[in-house]
Amino acid sequence: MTKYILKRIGMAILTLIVILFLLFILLKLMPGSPFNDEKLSVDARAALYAKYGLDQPIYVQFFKYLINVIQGDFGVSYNISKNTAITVLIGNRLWTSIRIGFQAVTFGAIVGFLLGTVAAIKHNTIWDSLCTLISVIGVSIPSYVFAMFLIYYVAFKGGVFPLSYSESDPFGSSILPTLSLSMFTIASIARFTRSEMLEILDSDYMLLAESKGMYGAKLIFRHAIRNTLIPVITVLAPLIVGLMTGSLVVEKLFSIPGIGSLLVTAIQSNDYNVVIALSFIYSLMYIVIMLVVDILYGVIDPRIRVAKEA
Amino acid sequence: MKKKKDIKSATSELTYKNYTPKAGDFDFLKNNETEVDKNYSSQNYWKDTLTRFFKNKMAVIALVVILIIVLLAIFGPMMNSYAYDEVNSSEANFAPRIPGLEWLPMFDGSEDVFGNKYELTGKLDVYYWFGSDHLGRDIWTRTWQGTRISLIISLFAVAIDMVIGMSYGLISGFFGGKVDSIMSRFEEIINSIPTLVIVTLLMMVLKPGLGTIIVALMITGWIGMSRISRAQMFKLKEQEFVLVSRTLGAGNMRLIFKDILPNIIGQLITNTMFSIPNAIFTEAFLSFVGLGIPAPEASLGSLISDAYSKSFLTHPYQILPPLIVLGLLMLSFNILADGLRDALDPRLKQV
Repeated sequence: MTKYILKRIGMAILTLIVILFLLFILLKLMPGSPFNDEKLSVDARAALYAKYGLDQPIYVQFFKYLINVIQGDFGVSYNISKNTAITVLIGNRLWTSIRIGFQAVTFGAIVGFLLGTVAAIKHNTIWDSLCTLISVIGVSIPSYVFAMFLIYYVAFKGGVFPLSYSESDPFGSSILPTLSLSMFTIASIARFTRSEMLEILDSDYMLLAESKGMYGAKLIFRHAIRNTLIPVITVLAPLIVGLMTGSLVVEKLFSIPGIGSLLVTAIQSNDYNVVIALSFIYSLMYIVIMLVVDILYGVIDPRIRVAKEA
Repeated sequence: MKKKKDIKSATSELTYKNYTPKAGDFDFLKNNETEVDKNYSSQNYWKDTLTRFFKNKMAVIALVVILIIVLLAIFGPMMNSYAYDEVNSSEANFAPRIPGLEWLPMFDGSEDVFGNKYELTGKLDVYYWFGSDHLGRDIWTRTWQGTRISLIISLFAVAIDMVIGMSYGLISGFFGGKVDSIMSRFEEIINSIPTLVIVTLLMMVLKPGLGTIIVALMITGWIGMSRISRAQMFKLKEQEFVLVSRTLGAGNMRLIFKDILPNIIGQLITNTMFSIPNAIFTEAFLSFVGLGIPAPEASLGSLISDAYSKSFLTHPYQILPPLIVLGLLMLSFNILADGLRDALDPRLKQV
């Protein structure tokens, strides 16, 4: 197991370096330069290039960049707020994004799991069809469409929750974004739980447990739910990643000061340094989540552990 | 036995009438003389699939909805006299008004706050079926123009899945060993960069537009497909019928595409169908972020983003048509894909 984990971690680090290299090369390929001012003389431009180390060969620049990134330094922003260190720019925004993402995943996973379980236990009843309907709609409709409906009907017409995010009420104003982000998670988890649960309810060991006199809630909780949880954990990883994409638009809609909306602003104002830094952070989160889930899966499910050791 | 008689009469001839064999009895039957068993005629796989598919009402409804949307996307922009990029600032923000349907409150051309602009400006012979936007462009025409883009993208998504994803997975799975491990590593690295990041960076290097969206899909869209076809290939390549074909002298390409592919095509088609809503979503998402189709061209995503930033809370009818078409398209493609999966592979349906 240790060998497997080490191998996975090594692979993850290698991938991250490759990604960083690709990002760096792309940064160099970008049209134009950060110093587009017509008034700059050739000398002044050369001086600026020297100041930011842009006159050195590309591998030296990359090596320097790599070392800086490891130390948590992504350079400065060129456009959004001139010469502010990107780490400062990202700082609090990252935590706001992570908090809302975490709320959405937790809420979505719990509700989805409950829905899926109910649908499986009440197989082929109205509950089942209702759950299937919810999950089909949730999977197909983009999160920002939900967000718009919520903004219009709940916040604007109903006046229940605030229209946009405010620092003074970080939880109350994050309810609507959380809801719209979690729809997709709810739907996918419900769908997956339902099919997994049906398979388990149909299995031999459930029959054995039942014939030994176990019944009702005890049977479901002891045997069915515990065994369903394992595969459900594996689908959480891609869902969290999907949330990142959704958060970009949802953050913009609710004007949440998170990294998603920062990325959108950076794209629109061509602030390449910020885009690269955020892309790297997204990749980092993505790879770490995949890694954790992979390892967790091995720890929880003995069958996987044995197979991977062999 | 000339011309296969039924067995009973043949035996009775033999036993009761002291049958003497005739010259033709021991000849081989000619091709046109063989009889096909009518009771157990072989069921064609595709015919079977169709039958199963049409039993699923939801999937059929989804198919019909998609067909209607496709027809409207083709003919919709020609159905009235407006062009999609025709700006008319004197007729901006007109609410929906359809001739003959004016008795319906949603299509009478009036709005809560602003009243009936058609009456206020005295333009009673003007009709905007879905209303007009903040520049006075006809939303009906723009919505269907935008739907075209989404549908074109979904066609490309299918092509990418079928050409790149499928071949990559099949080749990687078929050859195995070193080829497979190199191809898998490459795939892993691409897969470990979030799609979001790839697409964003690409959009910054290339110019935003339809071509770039398609390139972005090409880089990221094939991975799911290639994984599935690789796994399927692993399952099938050791089977006897492949060995037989190889013994008969079939080359690798023939083995892959003629012998194995037809056996797994059902699952691959299902997967392709699921990638369509994904592609449509990617476009809508990119346009919303501002990396999509540039104005005055319309796409569902850019229409939604435009209507959202300009008039969402004041004129909500402007955002509804693209939003509803997008939702319907995604929903129908998903349901259709579900139905196709159940029809193509009934084993999956047991649960």
